Amino acid sequence: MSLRLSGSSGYLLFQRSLQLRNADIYRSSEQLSTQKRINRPSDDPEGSKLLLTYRANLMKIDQYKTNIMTAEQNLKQTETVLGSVKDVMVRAKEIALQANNSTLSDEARETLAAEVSQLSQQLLGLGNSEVNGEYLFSGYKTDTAPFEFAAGFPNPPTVNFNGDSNLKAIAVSEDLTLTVQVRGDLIFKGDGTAASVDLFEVLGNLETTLRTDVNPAANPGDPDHRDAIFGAMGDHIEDLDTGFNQVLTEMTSLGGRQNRLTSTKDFFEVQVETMKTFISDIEDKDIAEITMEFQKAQLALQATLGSAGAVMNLPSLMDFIGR
Amino acid sequence: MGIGQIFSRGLDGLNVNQRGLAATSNNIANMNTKGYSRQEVVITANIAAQGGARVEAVEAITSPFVELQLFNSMNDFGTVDGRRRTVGQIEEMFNESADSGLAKQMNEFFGSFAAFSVDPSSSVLRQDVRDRAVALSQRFNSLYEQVNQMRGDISLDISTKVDRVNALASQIAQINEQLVGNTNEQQTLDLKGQRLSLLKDLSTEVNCSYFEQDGTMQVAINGSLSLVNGKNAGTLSLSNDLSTGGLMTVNLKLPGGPSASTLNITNQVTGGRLGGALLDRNTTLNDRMDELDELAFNLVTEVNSIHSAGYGLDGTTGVNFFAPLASQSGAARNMAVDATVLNDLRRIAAAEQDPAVSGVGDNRTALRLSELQNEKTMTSGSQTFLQFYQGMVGSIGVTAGQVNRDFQIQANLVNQLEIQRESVSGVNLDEEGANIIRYQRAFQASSKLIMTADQMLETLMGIK
Repeated sequence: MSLRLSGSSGYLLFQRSLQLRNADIYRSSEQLSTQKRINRPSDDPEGSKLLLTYRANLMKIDQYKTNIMTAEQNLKQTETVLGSVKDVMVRAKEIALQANNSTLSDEARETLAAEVSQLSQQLLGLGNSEVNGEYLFSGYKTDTAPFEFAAGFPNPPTVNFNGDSNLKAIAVSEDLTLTVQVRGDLIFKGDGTAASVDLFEVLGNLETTLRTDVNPAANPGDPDHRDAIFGAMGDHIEDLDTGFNQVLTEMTSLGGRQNRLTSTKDFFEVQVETMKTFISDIEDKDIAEITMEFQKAQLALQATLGSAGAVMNLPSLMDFIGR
Repeated sequence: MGIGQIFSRGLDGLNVNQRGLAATSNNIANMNTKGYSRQEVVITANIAAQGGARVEAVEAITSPFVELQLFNSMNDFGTVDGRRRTVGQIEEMFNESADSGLAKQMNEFFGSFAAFSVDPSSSVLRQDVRDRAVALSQRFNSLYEQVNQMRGDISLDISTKVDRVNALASQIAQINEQLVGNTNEQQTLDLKGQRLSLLKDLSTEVNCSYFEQDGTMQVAINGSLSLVNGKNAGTLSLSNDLSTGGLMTVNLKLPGGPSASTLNITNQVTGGRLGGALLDRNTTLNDRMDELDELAFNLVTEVNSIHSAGYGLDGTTGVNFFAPLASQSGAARNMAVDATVLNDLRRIAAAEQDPAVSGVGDNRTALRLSELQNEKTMTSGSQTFLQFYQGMVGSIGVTAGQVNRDFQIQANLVNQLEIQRESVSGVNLDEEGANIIRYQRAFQASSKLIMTADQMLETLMGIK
């Protein structure tokens, strides 16, 4: 159809075209500077919502990863300490086996007793181990040393427990809250059943037995006395085995927890990568694509300006009247 | 036919073509006048005088159909134009695309509790919890203030729009008055053109309709509320009704009615720039503020209920983490960390029992607080805090996107209609140039006619 054109209609047409071309240029140049497809929620409301979720997830994972690190540190340290406790048990058993021999002199047994006393000290030190300034085995009472010798140790062979039975748990993922402590009282002092022993009591009793002379000056060569001593020594050896297993069982359960941490951490690594890919897919724009769009917008603007200039400067009949 | 008649027809020609040239010159003069319709003289044979020509009428060339379409589109255009800036600004306020925003700060706040739960006796972590909480509260406060500030700005904007509607209505009424009994053809034509142009401007500002009655234009808002009646114009006024959450009310004093009596027409003002701005002022912004309040109120209440049941490092319990809020209304503005916590970090509760009893490593309350972010605490237990906020940002984005798209559509439509209007009513210099030549030539010929008749008479007179 042929449209009757007035001066204003050309002007209106070009005015709107220029507005649109300029808006294109603005949009392209904004994307060019941010290299993002979404610069405000209305650019893609659904995408914006997803971005919020993914970003929040990334931040949460970051926090959980910090917590996992702390948990790992705690569990690792506990494992190391329990390994040393196990060594103490092994050494104590060696001493007990060595002393379970009638040819050993009372002086030699006294030396062994002194070493067992050292082992008790060492065990106490291990029980009071710290990580980041907090006691490992005292439950919530992280500022209180959990173990102390009762007066006169090894007579009576008692070590008091000043910690508590609560265990600190920390969140390592949205649905996993992991206990990062172990029960100091149960590991070191047993649960009171026949299947467990108090490690300090075993060492204290061993020391006392070792300090008891086989041939006391008052009563040398009494066979009943001798049998009592070696009978007791046999019991100590059995108790040391029980104690060794007690520690070993706990170490196994620690290993289980560490495995869960590792798998959670691995899961997070994958998740972080996935989220980052999602985020990039949603909001990023290919630089080549943006550059091209920008150039296209520029070209379109120039073309519009050019044609507007040409058309609006076309001569009218007025230019020829009166010549 | 006598020579006298040749004289009078020549004179007719002079008259008629002079009027034609006058119309052409008027057209050229108004070439760039907004809304001007080109005028044409209608020349007919002078039958009564048994010959000759006369100007039957001067007409404005318009298409009533296009004009009506334009009138209606202007209203739709005005509505989105009135909203465009506001929704754009709201969107920038809640723009989380930039790596900062309320969502990030909520995450950081709950994250600080997660870190705190690992080592509840650490004063550094306690301080971090407090600092994040202060930052979060301030963010809520400032967002609320920004929205509130904007509400004030729009109110101002609305009052200028009301002034404009009043000015347009009274101009239309004045023209109505000037037209009554006016016999000057040119003036009548120009006044009517001007009135049509004013009506379109009015339509851009407010949803209205018009009809002509006894030669005067009647204008009504929303179809039935009379704004211009003959030479009388109604007046819009505003009042701020604080009893209904500070809603803005538009009142109308009917044309020629008593100045004391006004009608509340707020719900009838639904279109044009005024209607658009009113919608944002009374609905969009209020909704956003209510949502912010709801989020802040629930967050404060949930955190407090867990925190006050827990124990601080110094064995205190029943301490509120955030200053308790009296009501949900204004929660975002009033949100603040409680002074007790602010002044003494040890009052931040990590423990579920007195740490003097349970130990300083008791982290159960801190743990529960950190897990609050994953709990569905909003919208009757269906959304987490973040999901609720996401919903907010989502709907802000959807609204802004919709308004922007509508704006482009309406702007294009108005532009197309204006081009159509110009193609009917606009002034084309080629046409006017041709008209100049046409009328000039006819004028010259008519003069020639008179001269010829004169020579003929002279010839007759010269017969001796």
